Amino acid sequence: MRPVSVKSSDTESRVKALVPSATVEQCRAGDRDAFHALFEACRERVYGIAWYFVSDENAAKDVTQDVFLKLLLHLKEFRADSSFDTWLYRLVVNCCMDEHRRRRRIVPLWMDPRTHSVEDGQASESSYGRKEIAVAVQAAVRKLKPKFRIPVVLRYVEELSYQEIAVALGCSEGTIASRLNRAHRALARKLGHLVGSKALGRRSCGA
Amino acid sequence: MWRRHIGEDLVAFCEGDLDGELANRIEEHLRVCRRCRKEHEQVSRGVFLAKHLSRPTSSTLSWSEVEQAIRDEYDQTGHEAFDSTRRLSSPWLRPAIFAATCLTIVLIGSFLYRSRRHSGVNLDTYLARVETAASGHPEEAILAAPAGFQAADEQAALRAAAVEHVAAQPPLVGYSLVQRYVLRVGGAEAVQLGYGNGSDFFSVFVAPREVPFSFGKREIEPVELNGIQCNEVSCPRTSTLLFSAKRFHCVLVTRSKDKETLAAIVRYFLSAHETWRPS
Repeated sequence: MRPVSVKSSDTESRVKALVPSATVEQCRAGDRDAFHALFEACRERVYGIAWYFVSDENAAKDVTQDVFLKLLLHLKEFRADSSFDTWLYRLVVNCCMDEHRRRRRIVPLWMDPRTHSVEDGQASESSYGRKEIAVAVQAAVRKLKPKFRIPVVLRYVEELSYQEIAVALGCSEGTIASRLNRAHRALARKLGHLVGSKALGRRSCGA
Repeated sequence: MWRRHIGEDLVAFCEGDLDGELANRIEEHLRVCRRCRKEHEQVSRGVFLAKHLSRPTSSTLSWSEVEQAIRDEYDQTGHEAFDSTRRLSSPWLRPAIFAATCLTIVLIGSFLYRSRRHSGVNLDTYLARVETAASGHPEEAILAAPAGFQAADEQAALRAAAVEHVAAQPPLVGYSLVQRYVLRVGGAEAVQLGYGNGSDFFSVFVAPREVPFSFGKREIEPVELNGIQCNEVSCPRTSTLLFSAKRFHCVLVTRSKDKETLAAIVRYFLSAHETWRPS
């Protein structure tokens, strides 16, 4: 598959490193305070990804806790010559996939109110505020297959570049582009009625 | 104009992330390709929707909860969650410390072994006792063992003193072996052999040369005894001679001052040791 040609700025990390390398080194040395700092720096991001993979807030907290537990257990395996952020995202994705596989066999007793779907509604963008659209999109994304959901979350929630997503998922940038394409078309099929034609341009489709 | 379809680049195109030339070529393609135009419309809607995504926040997830979970997990495995002593991060430090520890153990072991080996046999107290008893019952004092010496089997004592092969002939005619003691020093043995004829007694201490004899602050002077080089330990009332053969050295303690007698005893042991061969 042909690599995606994007502007050079996109190949660089869009976000500043989550954790300074010195803190990571201190964590590897077993420093409790450093691990606390690492937790505070990363917890919202980890929780944010986990939330898109499980049905409720408590489950997302469990996954987040699991991520930090595994992080501490496996931090010695992290090689300092690679990016800690990418390594962390990969760990989060693996934990999320484990949780997804575990929960496939469990019928949820209730759903988070934020996941209540509106995708079947016939209302247009004019009758929805931005917040309502966001809730609907979140619900729709959470129903995507994991292999399409993960790139969308990493791209639009975590604002990672194609390159970073590819490293985190262990696949090529072309694969990421292809999965994002299919994910967007799926979103459009489910929630296209929320999008007014005026909102769409050719080069920039931003809200 | 491209003949191939552009689905793979559509997301980046819609996000405005493609450079000018590539974006222009895609626009050109979209003008002529109905299939890609339809796909572009769908992707554009998807990108528009996806940009509404945001990160949910969790104010309820606290460090204390995570820390407790970590500690519980580690309690089950029996390990420490956080190492207060700070684990060593350098890959060379652990082997270096291991090597240093081994070296220290070897050095301490060697020091202890050598110190035991060379602690030797202290005859100062024994000679003091012989001196004070010289006018009373000197023979008992001469034949009495110094501290630490244990009574030993005759053959074992003669073997340790390396005179087993000449034991049939005593050092002096009319004398016999009446007492024998052994002291273990490191891996070696020091032996005391007491000889007597009923009225006169003498003791000879024999030890391998690596086991030194010590005499406290007593003076030691070289003397010549009928052509034999010896060292005399200062003991006014007795004759105490230190002499050495190839592998062993000996201390003779006797009341006799007769040089012929002393020389005969010394020669006996020197001769025995020169003809001795390790088994």
